[in-house]
Amino acid sequence: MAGISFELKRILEDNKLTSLFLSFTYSISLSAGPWIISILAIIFAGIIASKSSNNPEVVRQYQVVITYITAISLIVSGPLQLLFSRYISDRLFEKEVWRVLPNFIGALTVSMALGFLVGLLIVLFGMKKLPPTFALLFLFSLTLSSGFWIVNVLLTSLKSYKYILFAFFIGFGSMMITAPIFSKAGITGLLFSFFVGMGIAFSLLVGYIFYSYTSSKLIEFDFLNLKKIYLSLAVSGLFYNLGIWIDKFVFWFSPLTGQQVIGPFKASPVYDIPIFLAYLSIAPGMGIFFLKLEAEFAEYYDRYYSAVREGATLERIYEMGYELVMAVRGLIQEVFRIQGMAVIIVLLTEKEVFKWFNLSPLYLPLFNILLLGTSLQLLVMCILALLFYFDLRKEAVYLTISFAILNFLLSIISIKLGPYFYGYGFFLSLLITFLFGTYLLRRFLYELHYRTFMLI
Amino acid sequence: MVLVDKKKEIDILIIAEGTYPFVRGGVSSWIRDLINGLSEFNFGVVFVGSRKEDYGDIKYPIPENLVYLSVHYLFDSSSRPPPRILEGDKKHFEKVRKLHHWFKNNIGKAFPKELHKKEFYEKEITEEEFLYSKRAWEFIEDNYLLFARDTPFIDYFWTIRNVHAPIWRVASIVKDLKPIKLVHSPSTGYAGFLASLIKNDRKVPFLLTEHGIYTRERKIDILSADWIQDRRLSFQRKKGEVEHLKEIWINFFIGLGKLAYETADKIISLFDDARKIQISLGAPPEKTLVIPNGVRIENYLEARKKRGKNIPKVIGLIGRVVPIKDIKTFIKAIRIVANKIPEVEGWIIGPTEEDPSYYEECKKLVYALNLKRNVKFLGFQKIPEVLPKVGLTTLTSISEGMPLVVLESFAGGVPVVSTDVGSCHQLIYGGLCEEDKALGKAGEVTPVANPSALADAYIKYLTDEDLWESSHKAAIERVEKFYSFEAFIDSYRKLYSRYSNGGNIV
Repeated sequence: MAGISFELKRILEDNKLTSLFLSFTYSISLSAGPWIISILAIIFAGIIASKSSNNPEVVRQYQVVITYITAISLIVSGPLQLLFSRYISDRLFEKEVWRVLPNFIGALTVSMALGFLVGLLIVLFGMKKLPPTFALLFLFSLTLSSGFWIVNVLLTSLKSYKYILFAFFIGFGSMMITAPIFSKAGITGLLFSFFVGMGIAFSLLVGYIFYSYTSSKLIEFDFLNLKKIYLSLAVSGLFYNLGIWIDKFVFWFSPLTGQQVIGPFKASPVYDIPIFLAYLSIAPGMGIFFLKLEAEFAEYYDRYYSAVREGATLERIYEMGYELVMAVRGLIQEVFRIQGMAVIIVLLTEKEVFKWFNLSPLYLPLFNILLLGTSLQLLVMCILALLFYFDLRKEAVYLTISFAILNFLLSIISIKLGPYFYGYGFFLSLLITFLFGTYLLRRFLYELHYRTFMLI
Repeated sequence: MVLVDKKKEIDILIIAEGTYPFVRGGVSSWIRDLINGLSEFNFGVVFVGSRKEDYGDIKYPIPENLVYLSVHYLFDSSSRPPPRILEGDKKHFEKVRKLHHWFKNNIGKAFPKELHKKEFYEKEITEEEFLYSKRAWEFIEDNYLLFARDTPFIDYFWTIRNVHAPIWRVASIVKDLKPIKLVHSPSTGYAGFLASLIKNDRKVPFLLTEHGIYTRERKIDILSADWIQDRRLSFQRKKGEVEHLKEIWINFFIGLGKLAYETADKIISLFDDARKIQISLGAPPEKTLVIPNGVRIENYLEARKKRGKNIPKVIGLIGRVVPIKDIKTFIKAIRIVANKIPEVEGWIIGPTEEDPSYYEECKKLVYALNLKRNVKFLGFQKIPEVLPKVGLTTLTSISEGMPLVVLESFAGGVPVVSTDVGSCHQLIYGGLCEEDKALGKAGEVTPVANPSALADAYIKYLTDEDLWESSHKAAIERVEKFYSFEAFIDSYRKLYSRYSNGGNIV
């Protein structure tokens, strides 16, 4: 007689736990890549501009335009960055390599179209008085940048950092060469040299992707297939980038702190300089974090999930879980230590540094509070990266949304309270987000085994 | 999912676990015969399967009096509630602990009362609570550390899940069921469990027919399964020790079997040995009853006429290509016969898709033994058409109930050589009564998994014409006298009438 034939093996193969492979590289592309690149780009652009033009007004305009292009393109491509990165890691895990190229082209198209649309709105409603060549260059640069973050996401997902660096080197090198020549045409010329430099870097990277991947299809929008993606990642990606920039926008567009620079673009000298300096101070901590994440933490992570997958006993799984929790703790502590040292060094040397940069010491109190803020931002970044590592997508959404909202509201309040409180909004929003993130991460780790097994 | 609903009253509800109408086989044909033979009753069928993708299309035409057919899949994860973090109720899990205790030490005790009621699965412990709650997790942790410390935890975890998860599926079937007058389950296991819940919920009589001994067959399935690997080194195992995970499954099915025996109003078996086994497994003797299968003699008269003068040198094994039918032993036996009778052919007549990997292994064995010309896999065939072409039919199973193919073979006048399983001995040598015995033997019974004994019998029957002739006669007389379809249908007609007119519930 035939009852239900127990093909448990097949049922077992069906369950997700046995295919538990969550080594998501996309956490890195989220937090570090674009951020470092954009800060460097803005600083570089400033240096190039000041070297090639002797009109300080033009230099400032140029820097502001580049900052806006960076900010808007990051926010516009934000929803796609994480979503697409995860899509790619999933496809590679499923050995569907041929899907990489067409979907990359698809994501590139979507992201650039979004950038173009937003740029078009800005051009139509805010650039009536500016020369059309400038407006066009701005539009193209923004479109290019929006695509550029997708390229960057794909290459960081594939850990091809070398090529990113190389392309940048070439791109910025060409800016160095072309900027002095074009700067005779003022801001439009400088923007043209930026566009060309970006175009070169972009073409090199896209070329490299074409060279590395083959496919019979040119374009595909499978990365928008709701069955294969996690919309929550789009939400986190958007709010994360929004959160990072929202305090700057608040300061730029507040009548108290912002001033018009060119066309629709405003800047806030009182806030901009200290914040960018403060961002420079988190480079060492960030470096340490990603080094340790990739080298040490990833190993403990793999060991735990391998133990789960490969049929270890429960005691062994407990042991591995304990080590994993310790690794997380060690990682955060390490970043704390390094960043703490960096902050102390900065605090001890800041007066000299300010002098060296010809900056007024009046900025110092604001700079100090922003310094603490950026350090906390680094820690929030770490927590977010860990949340993605553990595939805690819902938690990541909570964290990024609360960060964006808090940063927005508290920055507005800090302006209302007066100059003495500038920077405290940013700092406080990050402090709350950091504590909240720590709570979410702790809660998960405390129930690590339960969640690993029962909530699949 | 309801596939057929003719909006008529259902007299008899049959619960088909992995059989009719999606899988061909003994039990499926039996259900079909019952429905076709008792056209005065309206039948409903609830099909209970593992997962949708394990079954193909409906394999039988839907008869006029089958007024309701619904299908349910016990292992479909898509029908589970979505995961969410749950605390779970401490009190509920105290109960679960008790139940577990019962399953572990269930020898000779009555089945816990609360499990009889479907409310338990809806209110006491919900499926969500079992699947996702922290209490459930602690429960699994504790039990693992108590009983299975050295098994791979992930296997343990999924065993516990897979053992329990179908219970809620089964309980949910009861909820949506239309009114019925009587429930009839052709096996214990999940189907028997469902029938028990239906009886308790709807207060209708429950008849249980066992074709094989379900619990035993599952035991064979489980013990031969390789999906639970014992990862311990050989010196760490005690001799004869059944691994804990397999034990969990076996205990679970024993528990379900007991539950069915306890609730059923009548426990029907196909032959007397099976009845004795049921009693030894806890069936109350006064509930037991034997109703042998029957075969429609008239369908095989043509097959008798078609036979040629000589005995064809062909041995037909009619059955599904699955491990329990032990096809490999048959192939080995054919190898031995071929050494004596080079032109001998062994036909394996039955569907091959149920266990593709086993089918592959069998084909490899055919190649390895160089039997490409002798052994043929014919897939599903109409039996009356096959019978005239074979000199002998055979069964080499390691477990059988009352195989219909033996009766069909007899009706077509073909002797049977079979392993000594189920009712084969009774059928071939005559074991119902003295009169039956006097008819003589209609074939040969050999020990299980013994190719050379099988081969000896095959050679005897293919070469000794007198023996063949006397067995041929005995086969026809026995089946016409004791195993006619009319007798079988009549027994069930009486049972159904008696029970579905109410007032007779035991």
